[in-house]
Amino acid sequence: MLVRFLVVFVLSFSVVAAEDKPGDALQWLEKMNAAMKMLNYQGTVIFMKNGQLDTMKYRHSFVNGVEQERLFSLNTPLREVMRKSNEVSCLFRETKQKVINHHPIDSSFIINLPQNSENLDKLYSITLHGNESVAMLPTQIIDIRPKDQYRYARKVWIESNHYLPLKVEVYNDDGSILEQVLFTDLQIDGNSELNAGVVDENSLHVTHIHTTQAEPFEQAPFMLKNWPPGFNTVFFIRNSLQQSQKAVDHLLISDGFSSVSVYLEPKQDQGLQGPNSLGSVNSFSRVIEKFQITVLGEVPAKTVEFIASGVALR
Amino acid sequence: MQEQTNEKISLFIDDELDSQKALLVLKKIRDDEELQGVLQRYQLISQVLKNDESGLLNNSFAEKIHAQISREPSYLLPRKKTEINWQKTGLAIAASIVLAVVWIVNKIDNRANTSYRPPEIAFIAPQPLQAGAMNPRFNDYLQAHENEVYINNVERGQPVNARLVGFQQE
Repeated sequence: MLVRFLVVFVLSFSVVAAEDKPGDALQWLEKMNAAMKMLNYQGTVIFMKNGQLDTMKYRHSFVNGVEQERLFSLNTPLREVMRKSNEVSCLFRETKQKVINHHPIDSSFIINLPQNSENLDKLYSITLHGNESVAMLPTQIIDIRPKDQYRYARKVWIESNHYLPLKVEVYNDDGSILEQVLFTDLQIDGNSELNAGVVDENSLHVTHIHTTQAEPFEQAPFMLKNWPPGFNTVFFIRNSLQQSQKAVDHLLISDGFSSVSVYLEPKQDQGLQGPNSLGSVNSFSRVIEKFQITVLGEVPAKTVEFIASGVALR
Repeated sequence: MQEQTNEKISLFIDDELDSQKALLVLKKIRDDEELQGVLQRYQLISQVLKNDESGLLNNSFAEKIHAQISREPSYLLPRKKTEINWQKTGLAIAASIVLAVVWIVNKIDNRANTSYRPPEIAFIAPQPLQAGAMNPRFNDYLQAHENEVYINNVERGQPVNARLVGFQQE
């Protein structure tokens, strides 16, 4: 009896110890990263952000080395969003307007992941966190906790057989949920095309938003003295924002999960000052001489304020 | 021994010695020039403190006083007992008990919430934006920030939603 108890105890301990290996959790993330890009799959996704709930049909395909994502809204306003690599378009079916944005980088609608997980364990504590079913499918929960105050905590529910993310939660500093993305059904290798009805392309009013070529950050008129650990330059461009059509310097930095934009432009009127927030997105604005600085990203308010306080003109 | 004598001289000047002890001190002072000097100094200090008088002094006076004081030992003289104000004491005890109760309750409450303690961050809390009240420039910045938020319509009362789910018709 005692021997049996000891065997059970040792086995259960070894299971717990194995679950705590950070390497295993990183492997799950790496496999998920590959599966998200390479597999063809579709399903229904619920996005809960900023107190708003949206349900959309989702399809991902990988054709001739090009990644495509399509989202169809199920509710008004009816719209179709498509990402083909780094080109994102949105079609408003009711007004027949289409906006095409050529963005410098491609990023998933479901979750952003670091391309290189090499130094990730320095920034986050990544562990296996048990198993649950999502959309009637078995998942492994990955707990991603930041080791400092510059980023949000996350949990990802990864489908156990194909390594696709079925649920993502982003948490505030107090542990409350900031964002949630959830699949309610998922089919792998589904061949049926999502189609909400044919729209005559000639009848559409198309607007293109082009971005300029990315430049080295060293050529920017400003520099960052405060870099949160693990954040690196993704791109620096000199662009015009959609509404104002005025030139703005735009630097994007990221730690893989979270990204932050730094904008610099000539100050108008009194300029923006201080913090703002919208859901998980925080911003901090300040004026330096004749320029408006705004730092904005899906990071805690502390982070954008820290970065903004270290912006200096070259 | 010298310290005790000096202490008695001080008490004598303040009229806090009984007659027998005062006589003994006076006898000692009569036979000792050093103690006479101590008595004179203590009397002078006592008069200055009581009369609040002052006069012009030469420049070396302060230095001399300072040097003399530095040579003098420190005395911890007994203070005259004052009557205890029981009313004030009672109020002080009551206030202490209230403070202790508040502290203990706070401690217990903190222990009940130890499952997750958010890190302390010192900064000005940002004001959550109302969708309709969003600065158009902030909207522009959101749109330019990655694909997920590149287009939205906050001016029609629709909150910006990351990853294009808030994409709304214009």
